[in-house]
Formats: sequence, C-alpha cells, structure tokens
Amino acid sequence: VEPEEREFEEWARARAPALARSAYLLTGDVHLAEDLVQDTLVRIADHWHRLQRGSSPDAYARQVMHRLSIDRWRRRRVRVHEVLQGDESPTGASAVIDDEAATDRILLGQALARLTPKQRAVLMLRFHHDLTERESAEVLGCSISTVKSQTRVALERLRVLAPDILASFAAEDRS
Amino acid sequence: MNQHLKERLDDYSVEAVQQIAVTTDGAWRAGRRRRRTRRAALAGAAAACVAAVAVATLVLPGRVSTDPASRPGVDDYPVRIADPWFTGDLEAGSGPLAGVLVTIADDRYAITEDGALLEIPYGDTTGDFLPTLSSDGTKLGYLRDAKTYVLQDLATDRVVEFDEIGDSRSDSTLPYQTTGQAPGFWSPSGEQLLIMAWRADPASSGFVALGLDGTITEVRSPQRTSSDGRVGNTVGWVDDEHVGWVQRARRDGARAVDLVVTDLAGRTVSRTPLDAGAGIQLSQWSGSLSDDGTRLLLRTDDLVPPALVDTETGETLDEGVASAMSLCGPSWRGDEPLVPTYVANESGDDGQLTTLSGQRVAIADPSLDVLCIAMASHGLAGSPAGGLSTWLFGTSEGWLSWHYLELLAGGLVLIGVTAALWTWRRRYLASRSVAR
Repeated sequence: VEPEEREFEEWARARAPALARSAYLLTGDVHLAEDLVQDTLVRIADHWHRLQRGSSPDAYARQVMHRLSIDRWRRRRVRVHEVLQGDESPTGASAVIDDEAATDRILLGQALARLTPKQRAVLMLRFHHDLTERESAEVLGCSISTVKSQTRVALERLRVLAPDILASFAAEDRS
Repeated sequence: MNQHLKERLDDYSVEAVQQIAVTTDGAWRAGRRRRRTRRAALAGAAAACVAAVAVATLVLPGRVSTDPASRPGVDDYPVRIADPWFTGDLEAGSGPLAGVLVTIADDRYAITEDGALLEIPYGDTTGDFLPTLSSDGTKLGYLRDAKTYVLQDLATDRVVEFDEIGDSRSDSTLPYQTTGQAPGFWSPSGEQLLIMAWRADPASSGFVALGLDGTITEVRSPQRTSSDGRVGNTVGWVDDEHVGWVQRARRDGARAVDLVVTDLAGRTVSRTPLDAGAGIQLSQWSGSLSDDGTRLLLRTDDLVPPALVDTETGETLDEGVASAMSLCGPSWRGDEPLVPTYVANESGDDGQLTTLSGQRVAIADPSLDVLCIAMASHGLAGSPAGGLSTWLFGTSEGWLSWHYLELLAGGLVLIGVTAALWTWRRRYLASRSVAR
C-alpha cells in the first residue's frame, strides 16, 4: 500500500460519519447518500496529492459533496422524474407513529425532501455546518446574495411544509 | 433558531447515518483510475487539436506528394485557391502543376492540384512577367531574374537557363530582351516555348522560341501584303512547326481580322478570314488557340465579350458574357475556353475561371489580389480536387468559405483558454477552501 493511499484511508475512515451525515441531509435517502459519499471519496482520492499540500481536505470534501449533490439532481431531472423519499421510515396511513420525536423526524424529512438541492445545501451549510453566508457561497460556487435568497426561501418553505417544527423553534427561542 | 434547527437536523439524521455503509477500499483505486482517465483525455484532446491544426495547414489544401517521375502530367484541378498561411517554394520534385497565378503585388505562384501555392523564384525584374505552364503541367517557363530566362521540366526536374534573354530595361546589354505583360505559349510537344522577345542588334522580329535543348529560334510574324511589314500577334502553336497569328485585315472597306498560320520563318501556310472582330484593336492578348488548334478565343478589350471561333471556317461559334482580366490569357478544357475574370463583391476582387456562359469553374481567394490565373488544360479536363474546403463550399465566394480555418483555429484556441481558466478557477477555489 502506498503511503498516500494509507493516509487517504485513515482520513476517510475518520471522516466517514460526518460525510455520511452530510450526505443524508443533502439527499434524504440512505442509498443516495451512500452513493454520494462514495463519489465524494473518489473525487478526494483523485485530488489527494494536491490536497495534501494544503492544510486539510475537509473543506474540499464539503465543496465536492454539495456540488455533486446539486449536479446529480440536475442530471436526474432531465432523465426520469425521481421522487426523493423523505425518510426510510414508513409514511402515510399505515405508518405507526410511536412518539412525538419520531413524528417530527418524519415531518422534517418530508419537508426537506420538498426543497430543491440548493435550498437543502444552504440549510445544511448555514445551520448544520455553521458556515457564514460568504463561506457557504464559496462552497457552492455562487454569490452571497444567492445564499441569502436561497436561505430565505428554504426557511419560508419549511414554515409552510412543516409549520409545527418551525413554530416549535420559535417558541423555544422565545422561551 | 440556528442551534435548534441544527439539533433537529442531527436528530433527523442520526438513525439513518448508522445505516449508511461507507467503504474506503475502492475509493482510492477509483480515484486513481479517474486521474489517469482525465490525464489521458487531456492528452487526447491536445493531440486532437494538434492533429486538427496539422490537417488544416498541411492537408487542406494539400500538396503534391507523389513522386514526380511517376506522374507524367497533371490529372486534376483545384476549385478553390486559398491564400495560404504558409507557402513553400517551387523546388526540385514539386511535380506537375495545375496552374500558375500572379498577384497584383507581382508575387508569382505555382498552383498544385490541391490548390496549394508554391512561390516561383524571381529576382530583380520589372513587373507583370507571367510564368507560362504547358498544357500537361510539366513544363514551366519564367523570367527568374533580369538576366535569366528559365525553362523547367517539373517531371524530370531538368532546368534550362537562358543567359542571353533578360528584362528589357534600359541598362540591359543582353542579346535578347523580353517584356512583361505578354503571354507565352508552349508547343504541343512541350519542347519549345514561344515568347515575345527580340534581338537588340541587329533588330529582329518580336518573337522567339526557346527550346528545352537550349536553342533560341527567332520566329517571324506573317507579312500582311507585299508592301506591308511583318505584323501580327501570335495566338499559339498549331503544331510543333507552325504558329497561329491574328492579323488585321480589310474586307469590303471595313476593318476585319484574319487568322494566319505560318511556319517559324514567317511563311504563310493558310489565312482564314474571321467573322468576329470587326473594328477591334488587336493586342498581344487578342487570341489564344486551343490545344488541338481547332478553336480560337478572340478577345478585343475588357468591354467586348470574347468570341469562340472555328479556326477552319472562321465562323463564330459562341460568345462570352464575361469581362476578362486584361493581362491574362484564357485556359482551355478541351475545346472549351475558360476565361479569367473578376468577381466583384463586397470582399474584394476574387479571381476566377469561368466558362463563356459565366459558369464558375475555379476561384481564388480575394486576399490574393489576382492579376492573372491560368490552368493546365490536362488538369482542367480531369476532376475537381481540393479536399474539405471544396467539398464544403464548392465555388462559393462567401467570406466564410475563405476564413473557416481561421474561425476553426480561433475556436480551438478559445476552447483551450476557457478550459485552462476553468481549471485554474476550480483549483484556486479549492485551494482557498482547503487553506481555510
């Protein structure tokens, strides 16, 4: 095994959970998330030699994953209309909802699935990765104003699609 | 709200993340494959660009590459003669040619079958000396410099130099002098070239035949009447021992033109009154015989249509509509004359060869500023050649038809620069993200 390959695998194993979480939040689907993580790792391996000269490949991984997510969605849209499954959990009339937390997860998953990939991406970057608007814009390769507008639209849609969750945020904020 | 939304997102994904299997084993190999593929694709694209440019510059228009010894004569003709990015020199082994072209700037070119141009060497001469190509494209005669006339056999690469004939400048001390703005005619066998030239002292008649064996034969024009001197303008060879002339005559009190055939000593063999030509002014450009001597194209000046004449009967068979180039003789395709004319259009004056009815057979790039274009009859009797540009544009005079290679090259450069900038930008953004 080459030293570079060993270093890459060590990095990948360490970052796998975080990558998987980001991928799932971006796709809302376990299998799509697996593919997205795998594609991201391939891109990282492709550029590993160059990335080693920098401080960390984490930022590059974040950038690649978000752009791949948006690109894949664009490619799919012109082929077949694919409905993202908001959650692996059963939904609809047959669903058995045990508790309030599970209900919130399902509602949030369904609401996220109704967002565009770019809207999901700005939500992940701004509210999950805690990036600034400027940093989010650099990751997505767009302007700051685009990040602002996409964030505003995404939150407005979440309020419509999952009013209880956003209301609970507001209530907790007020308390 | 940020913190709460983050917690909800974590909570939403925590169970699903445990189901996601991340395998790192194949990623490295796949990444390496991807890297190699990208590099191979880049190398392939670069090679394709180089190949495209090479094809554009070397093949379109191409060059005569066949061994001259195996090519007894020219077989085809170019439809489009483009102003090339690079021109070669007419050298030993260039092979039979399809034509010759002279520009207004006095550049002299040989035209290959594929439309490539080769520079014909010339030194310090006065202007408008037109090279003369034989009907099979294998013999070329031209004034190389002020003191040397050259006959070149392109099939055998034999060169015969005449140091006795030079430019008729005031400082010339050579025995024979020749002048520009005059046509030359190769004999049917290709052994002699008839040009306008004269002996300085004692004064001789105005024509000589230069032989490939190095001989110079004075050719005398016909005598009109017993009291007149010898006058007439040659129109070419009838056979290897006889020359045709157009000579002014008078019939029924009106001006007329006769076609006179003489031997090289000027003895009249036949005289044929021509229907055409009443009232015309004769010059050295007034007539040209077809290869077999059965047809004569009679021209007067730029404003009068040329007439195709049966040399046996003197009848006019056809009349042209084209206005011919003033310092350029016609080319022949069998017994059909092709007239060098200009295409007046917005981009300039394209030189072209047309039939008498005006149908375009070949066209030259307007940027060449053609003074004269002539093609070998054997080539014109063959098929059109010239590769992609001919296939795409035929005899079109449109701007794009002359500049598509430049556009193609510019497009390739633009794609290359865009790709380089795009790659640089990606790496720059990535390095900034990584540094952060």
